[in-house]
Amino acid sequence: MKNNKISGEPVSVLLVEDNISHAELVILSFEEHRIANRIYHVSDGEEALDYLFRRGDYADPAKSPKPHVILLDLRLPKIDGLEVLKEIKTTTELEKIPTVVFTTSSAEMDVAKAYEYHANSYLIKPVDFEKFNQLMDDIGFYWLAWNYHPWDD
Amino acid sequence: MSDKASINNLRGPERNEFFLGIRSKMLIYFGSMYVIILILFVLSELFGVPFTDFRGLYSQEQSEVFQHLNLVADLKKERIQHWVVERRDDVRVLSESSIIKPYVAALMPVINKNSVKGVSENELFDKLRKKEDYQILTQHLNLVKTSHGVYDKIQIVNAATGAIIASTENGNLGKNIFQHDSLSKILHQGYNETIDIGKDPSSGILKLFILRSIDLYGDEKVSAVLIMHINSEEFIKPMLHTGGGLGQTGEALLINQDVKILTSLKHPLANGATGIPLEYQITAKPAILAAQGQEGIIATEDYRGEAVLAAYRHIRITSEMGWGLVVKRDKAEVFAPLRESIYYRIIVGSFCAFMILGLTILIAGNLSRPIRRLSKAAREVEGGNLSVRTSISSSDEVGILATAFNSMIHQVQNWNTTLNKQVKTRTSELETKNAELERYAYTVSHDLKSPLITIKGFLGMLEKDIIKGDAERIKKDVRHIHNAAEKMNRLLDDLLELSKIGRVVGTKEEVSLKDLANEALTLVGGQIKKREVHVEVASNLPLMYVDRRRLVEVLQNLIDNAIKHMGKQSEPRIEIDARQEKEGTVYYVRDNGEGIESRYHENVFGLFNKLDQASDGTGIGLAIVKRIIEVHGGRIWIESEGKGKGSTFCFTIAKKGEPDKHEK
Amino acid sequence: MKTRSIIYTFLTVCMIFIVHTTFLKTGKAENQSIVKTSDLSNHPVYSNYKFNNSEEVVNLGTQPFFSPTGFITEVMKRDTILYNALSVSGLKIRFFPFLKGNDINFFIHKGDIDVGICGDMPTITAAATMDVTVSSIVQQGFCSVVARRSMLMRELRGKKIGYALGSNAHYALLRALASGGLNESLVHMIPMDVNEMPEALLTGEVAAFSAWEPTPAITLMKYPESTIIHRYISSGFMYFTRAFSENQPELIRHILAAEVRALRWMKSDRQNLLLASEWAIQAGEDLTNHKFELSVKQNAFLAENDILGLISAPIIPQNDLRQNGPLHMEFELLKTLDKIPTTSNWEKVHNSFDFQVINDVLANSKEYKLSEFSYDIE
Repeated sequence: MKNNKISGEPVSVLLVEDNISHAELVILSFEEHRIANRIYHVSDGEEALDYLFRRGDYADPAKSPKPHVILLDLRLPKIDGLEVLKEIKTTTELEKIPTVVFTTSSAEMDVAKAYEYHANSYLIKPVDFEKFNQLMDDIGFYWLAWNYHPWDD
Repeated sequence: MSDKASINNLRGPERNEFFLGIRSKMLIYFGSMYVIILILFVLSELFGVPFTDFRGLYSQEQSEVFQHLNLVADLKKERIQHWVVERRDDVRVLSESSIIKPYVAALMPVINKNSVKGVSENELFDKLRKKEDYQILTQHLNLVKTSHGVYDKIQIVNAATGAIIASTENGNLGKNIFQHDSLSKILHQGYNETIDIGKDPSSGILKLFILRSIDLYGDEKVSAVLIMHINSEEFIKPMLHTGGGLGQTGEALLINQDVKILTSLKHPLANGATGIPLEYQITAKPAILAAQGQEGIIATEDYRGEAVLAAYRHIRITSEMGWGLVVKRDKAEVFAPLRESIYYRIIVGSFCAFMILGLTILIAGNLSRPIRRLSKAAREVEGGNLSVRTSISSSDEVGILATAFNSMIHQVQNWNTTLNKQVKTRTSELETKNAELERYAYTVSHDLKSPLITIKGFLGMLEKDIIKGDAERIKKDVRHIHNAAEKMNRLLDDLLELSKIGRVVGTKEEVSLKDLANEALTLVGGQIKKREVHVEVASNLPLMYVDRRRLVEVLQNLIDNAIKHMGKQSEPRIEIDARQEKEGTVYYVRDNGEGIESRYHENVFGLFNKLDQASDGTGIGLAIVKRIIEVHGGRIWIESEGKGKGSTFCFTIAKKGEPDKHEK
Repeated sequence: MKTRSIIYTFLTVCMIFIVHTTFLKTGKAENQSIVKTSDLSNHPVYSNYKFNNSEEVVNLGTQPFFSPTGFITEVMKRDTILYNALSVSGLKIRFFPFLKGNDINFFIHKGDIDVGICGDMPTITAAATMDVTVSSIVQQGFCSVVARRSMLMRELRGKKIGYALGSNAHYALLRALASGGLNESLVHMIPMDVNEMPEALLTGEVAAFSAWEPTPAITLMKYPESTIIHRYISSGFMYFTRAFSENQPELIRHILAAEVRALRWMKSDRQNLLLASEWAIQAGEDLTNHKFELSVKQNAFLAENDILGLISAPIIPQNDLRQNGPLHMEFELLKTLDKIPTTSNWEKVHNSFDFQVINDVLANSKEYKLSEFSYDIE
């Protein structure tokens, strides 16, 4: 696929997902479609913020490169997904990162709140595998291939 | 629909319909009662009470007046009769007097002779005057006249010729001038004596004549007639004088059998004319009845047309002649004082009526004020204001009513408040429960959806991997699927358990924490041993009134949780104990594990919330624990200073007999 | 069920009523023969009278209770001049006392009595049904309506009033009612005997009664609360059978003269009046065996208020016999009461009155010895 964006640099995705199985599905899917070079996976909200703020175990920037897109599940232990989203979008260094809410919840409240906190997109995990596949594909292409990023790091 | 109708039935008349306030009613009733009683009283006083002997002032007055009139009439009648008898006696005596007879006898021939001759009156008179007989006769007649004083004229008439023989008046001697019916009765009809009223032929004055035959020669034949005249107006009229006894309008009058008046009347006639005796005929009833020979009392009109009370009598003069006597008095005069007293009564009565009305207004207002206040308060209550109270101003039934009203409304208000509170509580409870339910449903669907995604996802992968023939991958895929399915199963079981806990509480008994703990410990014995946890259970713990099985579950969960979150603790320890606090006994399970940050203290009990995804369990355990504690009327919370500082799970249980407290 | 019993009761009442009235009618029919209200021949007292109807005997019927005619007749009874005058013609006169005028009429009709002394009504009755000559007036007094207390006539409306049927007092009552604007139909008139009246008034059986003297006087004396509320003048007459008057004109005059004498005698001296009173009372008591309730003096006083207080000439007042005059009205009343046949005419009655005969007597004072008195007083 032609992508004027692809300049050989590694495209990183931060996947914030507490369900291991779901995370594996996503990772496998990305690998399959050779979408992203690097996928970083954290399993709870606290870990996610540690990564983004480069603290704790993720103090080393090499370990925690600024992702080009964040896939954020809402139902997270420790710190809730919406909290994390809020944090991201109110932090100068992080707010620009495209944050895509990727969750099973179709609750209007969650959608409204997500957009309130300036989520860039709200996606609902489809149960059907074909659809799931397709979505993964699309996510990859859209956010990583098509979407222009505001910075170059 | 029918409710609305029934409510309308409960309502009375609205104020803007024909609403007669209680005050106005009282006014009308009492006022009219007074007026009616007053009127009845006055009426009965005046006119008597029917069917009883009390005839009222009016009748009494009338009776009295009639009595008086009767008295006067009887007196007058007697007087007149007596007077007539006296006069007749006078005449009888005179006619039989031995003085009169011889002289008349002597004169008769002289007069006869002269009248035959046609001598003139004056000549005759001159002749006679010289005669001694005539002088003596005339003197005697004059003597009688002056001594009685009643007689106007006394004459002696020749029975044969009708000529006047002697008289107390000079003139008309020898003339046959007395042309009166009564004379002819004596002369020709054999009457001894007559009485009559008529006009004197010579003077025209109305007179009473008494005539009597004189038997000159003892042969019982009428030779001469004695005529005595009485001026009726002068002597009869005075007998009819009524004086002050019959008031201003009282009058007595005399009539003959033709109902013609015999003396002049006291009052003018209706047309203003004066009644002339012997000419004017009265048409009024009393006179007519009296003339007919009746006697009695009557209330009717007199000759003027005025209403009078009259007593009438019949005075028999001869067997052929009678007079009527009417004694009367104007009704107006009679009842004037009574009328006055009626007016007076009316005035005083009206004045009293005003006073009474005024008083009635006051009293009515006074009596009805508490009632009106009460009704006003009731209206306000109707309008929804439950805090209104009426003032209690009287110590009677109305006061009781007001007091009762107040306490009723107070009661209602309390109930209202209580109910409102209860409703609010229940509503908020319901809302909570509803919210919880929503969250529950949401959470359930959400959390059930998750494993389903996993299953479907890995099924897809599996398909691919089967085609690829990647056995390693196939195994992994299958495991993922299997785990997810298993998770779903556990989830559903726990959910069922959770729902059950809410509904059914088993029989409660009194047990000590120690026994429960020991029981729980046996259930989790394996984990304890594995992690090498040291458990301390205090003794002398107070008894709990609980569902044993459930509390065991609670402790089991807490202990399990504590073990799971020991973290890197090298000497894991768990304490199960209780402490006394103000609100009651607080039981706790303390561990020295990794602790829980305060911001998660609430979350932890949420459905499916797991602090650590990696750990086992569905995340429902603590939710179940919380539910069980709450069902037992208690509260559960976490005390932990944070990471690495261990955590204490504290809970309370409602005492035996205490109602389940639901705090919000 | 209920309605039926009511109907039955009603029918029964109607039946009783019809039966009653028919009997009444027949009762009335009996009374058509007027004078015989009852057959008096078997009267306990009258049946003992020995009339002796021979030509030589004149029987005079008196009424001791009809005051003051009783006085007159008692005096006449003792008039020696009368007896002498009659015996000249070989005649005797006898006096028989009766209780009431119509009793006398009965015996006149029967032929036993020749001279009657009665009130207006019996006189008119006699004049209408028999041939009589009315020659003089014997009484001119008042019939009184006595009530329990003073009241107007009109207050008697609807009340019970006692009276003697067909008597002077009956007529007087009707006149009294008329004066108060009432009539028979507006009151309850109860026929009764005069001796029953005072008691009836006291007990309240009647509210008033109408009677001639002395009943009112007795009542007033006995019951001081009672009052006379109305009086009506009424008269009494002396009358002879037509046969008698035609056959014996002189005799009539003598008898009339005895009446005049009696009047004059009583007038001349009060003592005479008192004597006459005594005789009258005695005669009454003899007739009824009841004590007379007034004293001699009281009785005399009553008489004085009557004709005796008047001129002593018992001349019949012609005026009273005028058309629609009092006697004519009484005549009409008697017709309505069926006391005289409705076919009777006034002319006959009017013509029965002889106004002249008394004048003849009075004009011949000496001849008839009107001023002489000779009485058998023992």
